[in-house]
Amino acid sequence: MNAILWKEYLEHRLHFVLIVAMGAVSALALAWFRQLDQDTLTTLLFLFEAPLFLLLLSTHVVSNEVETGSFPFLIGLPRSRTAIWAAKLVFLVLFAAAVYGAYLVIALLAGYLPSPFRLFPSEYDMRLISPAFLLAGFPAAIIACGFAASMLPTGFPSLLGMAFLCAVALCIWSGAHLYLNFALVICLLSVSGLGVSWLVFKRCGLMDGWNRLGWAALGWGIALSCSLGIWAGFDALAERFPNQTSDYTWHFQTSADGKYLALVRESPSTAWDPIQNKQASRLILFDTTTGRQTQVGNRQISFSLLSPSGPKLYRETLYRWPGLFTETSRLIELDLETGREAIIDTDATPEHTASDGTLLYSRQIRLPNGKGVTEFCVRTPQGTQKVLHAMLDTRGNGIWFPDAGALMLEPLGSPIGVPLLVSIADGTTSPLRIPALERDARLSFLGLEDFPGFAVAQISVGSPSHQFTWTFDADGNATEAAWLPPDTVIKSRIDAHRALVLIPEADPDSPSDPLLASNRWKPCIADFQAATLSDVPGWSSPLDRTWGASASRDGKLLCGMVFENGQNVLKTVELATGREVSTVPRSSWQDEVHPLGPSAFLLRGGSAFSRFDPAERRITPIN
Amino acid sequence: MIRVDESSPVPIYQQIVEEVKRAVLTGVFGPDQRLPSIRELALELKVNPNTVAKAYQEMEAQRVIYFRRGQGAYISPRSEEERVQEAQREISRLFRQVLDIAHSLRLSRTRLNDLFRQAAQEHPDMKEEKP
Amino acid sequence: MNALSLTHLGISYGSRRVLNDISFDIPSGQVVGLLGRNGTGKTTLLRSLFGLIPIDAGTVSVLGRDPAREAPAMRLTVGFMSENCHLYRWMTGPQLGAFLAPFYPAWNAQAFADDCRRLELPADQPVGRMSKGTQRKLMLALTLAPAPELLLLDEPLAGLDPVARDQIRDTIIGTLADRGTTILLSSQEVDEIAPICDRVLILGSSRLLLDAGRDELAQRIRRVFVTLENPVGAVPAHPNILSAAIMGSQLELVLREFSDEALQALLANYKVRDVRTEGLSLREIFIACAGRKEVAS
Repeated sequence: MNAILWKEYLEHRLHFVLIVAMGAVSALALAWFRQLDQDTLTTLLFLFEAPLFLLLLSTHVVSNEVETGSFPFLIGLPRSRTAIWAAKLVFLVLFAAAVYGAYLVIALLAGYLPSPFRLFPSEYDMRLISPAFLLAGFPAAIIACGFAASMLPTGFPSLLGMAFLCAVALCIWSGAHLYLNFALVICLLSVSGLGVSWLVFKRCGLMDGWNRLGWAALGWGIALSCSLGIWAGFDALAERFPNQTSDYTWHFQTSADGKYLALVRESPSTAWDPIQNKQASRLILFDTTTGRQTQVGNRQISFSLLSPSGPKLYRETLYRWPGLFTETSRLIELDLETGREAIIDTDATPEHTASDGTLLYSRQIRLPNGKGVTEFCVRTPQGTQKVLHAMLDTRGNGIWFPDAGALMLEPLGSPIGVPLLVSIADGTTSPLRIPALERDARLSFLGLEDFPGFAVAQISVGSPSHQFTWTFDADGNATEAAWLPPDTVIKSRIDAHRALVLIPEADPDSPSDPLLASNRWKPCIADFQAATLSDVPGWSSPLDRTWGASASRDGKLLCGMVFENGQNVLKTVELATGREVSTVPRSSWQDEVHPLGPSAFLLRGGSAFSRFDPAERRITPIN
Repeated sequence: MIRVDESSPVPIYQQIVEEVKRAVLTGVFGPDQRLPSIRELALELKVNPNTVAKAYQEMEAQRVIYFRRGQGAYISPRSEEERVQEAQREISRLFRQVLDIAHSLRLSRTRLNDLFRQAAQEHPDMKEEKP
Repeated sequence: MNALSLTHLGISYGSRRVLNDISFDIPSGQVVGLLGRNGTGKTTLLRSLFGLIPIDAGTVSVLGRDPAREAPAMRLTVGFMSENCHLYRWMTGPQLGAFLAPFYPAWNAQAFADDCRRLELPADQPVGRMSKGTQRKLMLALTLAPAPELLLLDEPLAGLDPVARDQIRDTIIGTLADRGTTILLSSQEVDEIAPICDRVLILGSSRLLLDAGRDELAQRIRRVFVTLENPVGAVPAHPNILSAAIMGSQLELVLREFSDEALQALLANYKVRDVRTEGLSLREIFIACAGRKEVAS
């Protein structure tokens, strides 16, 4: 070993001097052009020059023996091939250490130390390069790959090129979809590179070039397959044991009977998971009565929808296979009772479900000219599917009013679009004729409600904007509900023509400020048939946020978070009579109330959900 | 002194034996004269030392030489009578070769005798002698 | 004890069988010349014995070790000198000596220095600038320095001037005389290696054609001159006839496995006037054996 190391030292000492000189010259050149700064110097020395020279040397260290004809002499030494291979490898590691050490000295002399910096600065891509990666991982992978290529005296440039292309493809692929776990990539590259080089060195020796190339290709193939296998194994493991610790829930939905709670959670992947995004959306289903949780599917979820009528869960799952640069998604129906899954459509997103179980979904079709078509389809519980309407070019926002008999489409392409109404009965379209919309207004997403025969929409006008409420029917005839004060928030439907609304109240502390005025809300019952607004009997406390109150799904109860008698309480009253059902103290971090089933409520505090049964005065944590 | 013919079909050790014997016969090697060592002779003749060793063994078996322990090979001393007998054996052997050739050429004995006499006449050292 | 023992050795390059069913033993101390025309696998055989080429069939024992599995240990006592120079071209002779010395416990620096002096090797010239003969001499000195028990020499004399050949031959003979090394050497210079060899192996295409002691060759293979009473038209066909020529009533045969009885049996159908036999030189034997077109035996 020592003799071989000494020989390698004698052979390559001049290279070392040259490499160090190059580093020094480039640092001086940077200083001369006044470009010497932390990132430039670190990139140039540690990410460009040192790896480049190391790659050259490591591809040279065996192939040079073959090309100058000394290879038979080397392997004819009274040492095993593994020992000779190891000696060469140790030399490379020592050489790399020496080069990096020298470059570290150059960097120190220039007044800089390598520190974490961004390799690919982009909005989404926050991959930081750590000094450990710079100083250890990168050279390790370089040496391993170069050393493997060094076993190929004639064909190695092509192989190296191939490997480079593969790496680039992997980066492009991963950049869009995966967040590469650099440590793992480095490990896989190093291990497979070293394995290949050892195999070739041990098995081939003096075989001709093609034979060697064949062995190397076989070795790389096996190594890459193993890598992919390990990769897939990690993926499966990571999905099997998802990280539950911290998450951000950006979408949740409950089933009509209140049994299920579906969460789409942005949860961080486990640290050792190489495949998933560092933040991936997972769909997790909770049984609100038992608290049992199930992760549905093992891939990224973009949207999910619980059917209110039956135990059905629709989700859009994103797929991206290795080698495919475009993303594809599938709309999958899961029967929660039987656990059976069915693919309904591809490239489709669930939009809404009606109370009878009809599903509205949108489907994106890419045309050869690069443009696209969005189709809105309905699927009945019996399984018949039909296209309601197709929109060219733009991905529209579709809002389903099954009881009103209309589908409202709002094109997102133009800044102020006039929504189209599509009749569910015959598919005819008509523009939604609201005069304000043709001026300087937008449809607000805050308060849209579906009633039999008509729907309620809110239009925001002006700057700062105020919201006004309109009702319209399936033909697009709209009437302003002028009896409702501006900025009324429509909470939820109580019966066929009444809804719970929140009316902004003037803040007695700062009455002059119109923006602050909306910090207090008063729940009222709006009757859209009679055009009247009435107070909730027996309710006196103002609400401090719009999510702080909700009517139960059967329309009988109102539950709100109020501050009474010096403490935060959950107050529940009967809407019809104003009789107080219960007043229960609540934790300060629970700040949202949503209906759960006919007469229960869902309390949310961040990502923590609880079930609240007002009659039993019981709060049960779900997750 | 000793020469071998590399391209001859005769085994080299035999050639060495013949050469030494001839040298003894013609008096080049006197009695108790030391022969070169195996190494020296092998290097001189550019032959395998094993071959030289084999030749020496052969000569020892034929009592042409004898070994002194640790000192090397020496020519065996022999009486005048032994020398004459060996010379006669050698001459008869050569005569047999001549007769073989004569037989295949179908020469008569008279013709052979004439040839012998003529050859003796032409030889510078043998012509004085009268039959 | 056998220094080298081969049983049914077979080596293939891909689907091509280079050596097939080679079996022989070499006792300690023997010098064996491996002859054969170009491309008959002499170099392959020597390389495989040194553990540089994997063996596909049969078993090999080199000084009691298997070169496939125990090559490193085996190489401590086996010296291999390849035909081409594979030394580091930027190293000088003494540097190579210093490089190799730590590998061999039995490295004899004094012997190496002596050999270098005797072979007139320059001390300050890198291998790349040496002549072919000097390179070969340096290789020989390096091969002999660890005092190997077995030497595998691949074409030690090829392409060298007569002085260099003599120096190399002298060094080999000196080693033989001093240490009794076993040697297996391949060569095309039949005449020049003939005096060194105890035994001769002739390789035909992928198999062994002849394996005989140097001294019994003249008895086993002989040239026969037959004079017949009448002129003949055709040569008798027999697998032991290596070559034959007819000139009128004169017949010239080269016979292997020669014996008087075999000759008489062969000539039983002819009216023979006269028979004369003689031995062949190694060169003639080589040409007769290797030059003959392969006959299915």
